[in-house]
Amino acid sequence: MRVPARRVAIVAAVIAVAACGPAEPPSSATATPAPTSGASTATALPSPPLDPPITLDEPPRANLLAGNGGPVAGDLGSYVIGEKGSDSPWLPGEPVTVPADSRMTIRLEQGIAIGPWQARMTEASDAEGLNALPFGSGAGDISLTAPRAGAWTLAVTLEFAGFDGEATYYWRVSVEEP
Amino acid sequence: MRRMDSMRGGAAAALGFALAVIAPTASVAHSPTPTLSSSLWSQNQNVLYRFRSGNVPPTRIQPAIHAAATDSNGSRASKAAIFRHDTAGTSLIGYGVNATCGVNGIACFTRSAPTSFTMWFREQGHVFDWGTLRWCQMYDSPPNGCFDVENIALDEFGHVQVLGHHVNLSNQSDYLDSVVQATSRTKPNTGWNVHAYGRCDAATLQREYDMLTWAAKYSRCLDIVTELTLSASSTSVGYLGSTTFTASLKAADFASYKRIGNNPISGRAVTLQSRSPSTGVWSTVATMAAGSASGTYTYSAKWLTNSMDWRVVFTKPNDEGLRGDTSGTLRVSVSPRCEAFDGEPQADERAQEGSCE
Repeated sequence: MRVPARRVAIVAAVIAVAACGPAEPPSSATATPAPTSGASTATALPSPPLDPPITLDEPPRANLLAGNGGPVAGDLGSYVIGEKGSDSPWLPGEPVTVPADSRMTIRLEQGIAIGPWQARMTEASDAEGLNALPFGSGAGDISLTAPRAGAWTLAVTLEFAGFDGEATYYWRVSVEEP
Repeated sequence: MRRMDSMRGGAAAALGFALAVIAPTASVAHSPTPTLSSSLWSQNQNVLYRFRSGNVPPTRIQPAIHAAATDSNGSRASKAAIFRHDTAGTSLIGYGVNATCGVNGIACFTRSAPTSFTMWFREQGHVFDWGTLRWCQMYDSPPNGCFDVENIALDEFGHVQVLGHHVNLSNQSDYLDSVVQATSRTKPNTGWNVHAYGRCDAATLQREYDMLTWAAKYSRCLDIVTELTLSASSTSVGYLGSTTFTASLKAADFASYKRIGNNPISGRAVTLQSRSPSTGVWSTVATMAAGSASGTYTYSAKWLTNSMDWRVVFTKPNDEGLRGDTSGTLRVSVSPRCEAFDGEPQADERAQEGSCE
């Protein structure tokens, strides 16, 4: 029952992306300008499993890479790992500047593969993320297209493949004018 | 297990998104809150906590933590653990600068079911990169932007039970379906002061720990398949004879249902219907009474004069997460009326005995 559910998730996500194209705000969320050029791409290629399995004591750092910039570790928000966890509010995010239309890839350190993930984005001024919109989902490596020029907060919730754990990471994404 | 459950949450979220695009008027199902572990407390286990020596919360904070324990006990809707403050408790709740909640955490937990747990709260005024922590309970007039200790503590108690972070729908419209959220909210934003588990929290607690009683309502975050069967004390009776119908209602026995699979379901409205084999039209005879065994319902049909088909119907309730079901059809054959000899009064008695000899 659960494996088909995963397929449903992926298929539904593909349907959603195919039906919507670039992420657009739902009609009810008119207060927040959408990251209109922020088409999200769900790369459904699972990362290779870890061998041998190790125990995670803390969430690994998640790095965002875009353009010619170096990796920028996201701010760690709420997480659970095994039998422990921590709760945080929506975070403003670690600042990162990316070129317009550039690809943003996110990787975990320590060779940890990414399981299912969901990305959400909102204007940086939305301090509690109340108007955040879906910005992609999938399983495995994360590759997103930068939104239109502006200041945004990107939140990515992901599961650690091969581990009982998940975490949310935040970046304050400044997108340059093309 | 947690991961797979979470995938299911993701499935619902993604599916919800797809449905929102394709069929905006469709009702989108919610998913139970994921689990974070396979280790559970015993059913209805009393888990005693005390404040950590040297890290005792301020007197303004303590009542809110106790209230959250009471909230958990009162809204668990299942046989999940019961949290109680006891100075001899082995589980520790601390407050202050020693909190081990990571860089940005305002509260955190560890669990070692079925033995103990720990819980921590950051101190009032802690300066994070994102701002300064303010607990609402520390103010006579709580300002906007403060966190409600009772809500946050209930979130932590939910984790301690077994709950992971709820996977919300893409538009967050289901935020109130769970207090175990990955994004804690401040006053006055929606959900900032919720003091009961959400329906999707209760759903998981029911699945993991079972129902409090067989008559208890199933969370509306669930969509449990039910199985309804019908039997009769006799399926062949004489004219004006009688038979007693017994219906049995239970949850289907899927592995994913865990502890609620195969549960008898009592206290519901189960309707007995009949039809003439020649007409094929069902009509309601009665709402059945509770049977002696859990999940059973009975009705005695008397003075039967015609052979009829019978079935029972359980209509999907609006106030809980059960599906409706209809039993198979059961035919009760009734002997024809005996021909009376010159008004012989015993003719019907002979018919009831199944013989017109």
